[in-house]
Amino acid sequence: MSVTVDRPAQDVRRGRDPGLRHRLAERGVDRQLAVLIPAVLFVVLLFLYPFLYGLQLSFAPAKGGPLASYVSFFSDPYQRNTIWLTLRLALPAALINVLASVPIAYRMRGNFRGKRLLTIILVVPITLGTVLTAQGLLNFLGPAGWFNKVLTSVGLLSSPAHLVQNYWGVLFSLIITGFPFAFLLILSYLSGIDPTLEQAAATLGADWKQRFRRITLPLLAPGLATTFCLAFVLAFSVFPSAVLVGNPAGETRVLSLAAYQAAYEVYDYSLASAIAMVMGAVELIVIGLVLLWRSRLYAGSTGGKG
Amino acid sequence: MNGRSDSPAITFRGVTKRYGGQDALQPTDLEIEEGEFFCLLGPSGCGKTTTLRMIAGLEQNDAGRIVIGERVMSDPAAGLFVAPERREIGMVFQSYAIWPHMTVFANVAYPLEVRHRPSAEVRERVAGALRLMEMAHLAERPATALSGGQQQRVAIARALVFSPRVLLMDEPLSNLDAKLREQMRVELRALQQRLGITTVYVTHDQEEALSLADRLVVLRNGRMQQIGTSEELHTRPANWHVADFMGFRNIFEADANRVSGSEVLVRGEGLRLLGTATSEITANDRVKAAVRPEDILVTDSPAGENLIEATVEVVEYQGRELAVEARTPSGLALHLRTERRLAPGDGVTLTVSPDRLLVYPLDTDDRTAAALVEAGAT
Repeated sequence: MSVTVDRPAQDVRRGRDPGLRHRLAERGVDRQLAVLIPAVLFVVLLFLYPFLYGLQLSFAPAKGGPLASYVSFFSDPYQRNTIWLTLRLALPAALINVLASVPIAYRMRGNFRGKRLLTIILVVPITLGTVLTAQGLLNFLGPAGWFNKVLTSVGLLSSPAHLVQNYWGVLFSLIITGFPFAFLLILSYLSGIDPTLEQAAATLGADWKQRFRRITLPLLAPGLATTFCLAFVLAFSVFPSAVLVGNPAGETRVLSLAAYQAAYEVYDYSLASAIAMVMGAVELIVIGLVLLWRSRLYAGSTGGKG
Repeated sequence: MNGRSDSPAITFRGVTKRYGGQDALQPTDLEIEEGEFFCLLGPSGCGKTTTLRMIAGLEQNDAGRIVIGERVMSDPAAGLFVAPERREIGMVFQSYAIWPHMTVFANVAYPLEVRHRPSAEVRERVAGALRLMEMAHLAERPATALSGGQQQRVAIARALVFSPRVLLMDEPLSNLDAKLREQMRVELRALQQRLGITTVYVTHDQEEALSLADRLVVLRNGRMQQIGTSEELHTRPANWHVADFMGFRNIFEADANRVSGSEVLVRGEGLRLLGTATSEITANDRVKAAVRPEDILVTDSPAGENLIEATVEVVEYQGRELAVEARTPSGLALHLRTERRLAPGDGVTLTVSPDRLLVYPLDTDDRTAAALVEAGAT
């Protein structure tokens, strides 16, 4: 973050070494940096310190060498498997949310009647919270819910489909709560692309598919990558819905659940910290891969109003 | 491109466009000939860009029919609308709209690629279009590494590469600096004459329009004011709004006092001047008198017709000539150009040849506006 504001002349004159001061100011080092102090303190006290504390805790188990917690996590298939179980939920959820947002946001650029209402409807799940969503899913998709009742009564299903208390319930919950974030982000990326770029393509003979594929999508791709990363991180730390609409002892025993159990059921804080570190490492690897792909794309100006 | 048919390249029949109850373009009939360089001229908000975008298909007209060549492109009454990509037009935007994620070559090749031309043909035609715009040496540059003038050239090459039926340009020179603008103007005119492509060009700059166009139309408040060649519009503006746009900087209201043929004596602002009526004017009409700065002359002879006494107020040095603002005793400011070295405070006698002082009737809009002002004042 660089702050460039013209400093009043007398301010420089008062300084003991205006030359040095001036040179520093040109690099963005001046007294305005002080406004960053609260934010820096906040990050250090509320994020960096707990993180480092957890990191050292993960290397300080009650028994065994410094790596004992990690060894016990990776040597136990029941624990190790949680990585895969979490990825199996978070990756499709993030991908579906990004892919579903693109066509909707694409249609919703520009102004039309009822745009605000439609946006509100699409964004409302943010305000619901996971518990309410879970409650709704149980009622709607449960064995005696409307969904199964309707499908069995018209004869499409012979017996109710199992859509909650398992993998699907959690995936639906993640899609519902994650979609508004992905949608809002992608809508803002799309509105940042100058509409004349697409109009030019239209007048020069490209139909909407060609325009989308060759003009809009390449300009949007970096935004899609960023959105995917955020949606993935959001879904990867899934906890409440894994318990409420999932099968927390089996196919939705996600990493955060394993860490919770280690900390508050087994009271092994070192193992819990190690699991948290593994969680962070997996997230970093996925984000790193996505950003690596993103770095190969065009990422300059898209000419719009940002 | 030439000799496709004898019918006009572009035809408007009663074309109308509304935005939120306002008429952006009032019912308009227009014919643009094959191979013609046609300018749409007017102040911002006059409907010129809307008109261009309706030809392109980027806006849909509410009524009337737009025909390009023999093909009806838009006719709401018949439920007909041809999408922009099927109209075979090349368009150059004010912002150039160069695709930033592509090279110069890819930008120019795109219109051919979406038409599925074989790659050998694409290479050849892109090279040709880039040579035409003197951009061949920059083909592999990323489009964002170009200057404004170079992006402009790419935009034109891109719009011409597939030999469209019509070239549309929306204020293409307005983002260039003055020197480059004049250079590009000459190049554009030469290019259009060489290719013979029907060109519709939108601008708010009368000098640009007059120098480029075979024919032009002046638009105001969504209505065509006058259509004709540059010379017709320059020498005989149809109404005082067009005159205003064509460089008649001195326009003032007066009364028509005596009318004989086209000769009118106007009185107002303490002046008594002979002028030329441009349309039907009867004695005692309120009129607008219009004269260009270069047609007001400084004279030494104190006798004669059409004399104006005034005091010099502002003098601008403009090389050989001075641009002078002088004020009459009644407070009317007059703009003139002279080679005499006048200074602020000098008293001068000015004269206007009667055939250079054009007299126009007030049009309906003005009468309404005047009535509203009076009603508001009382």
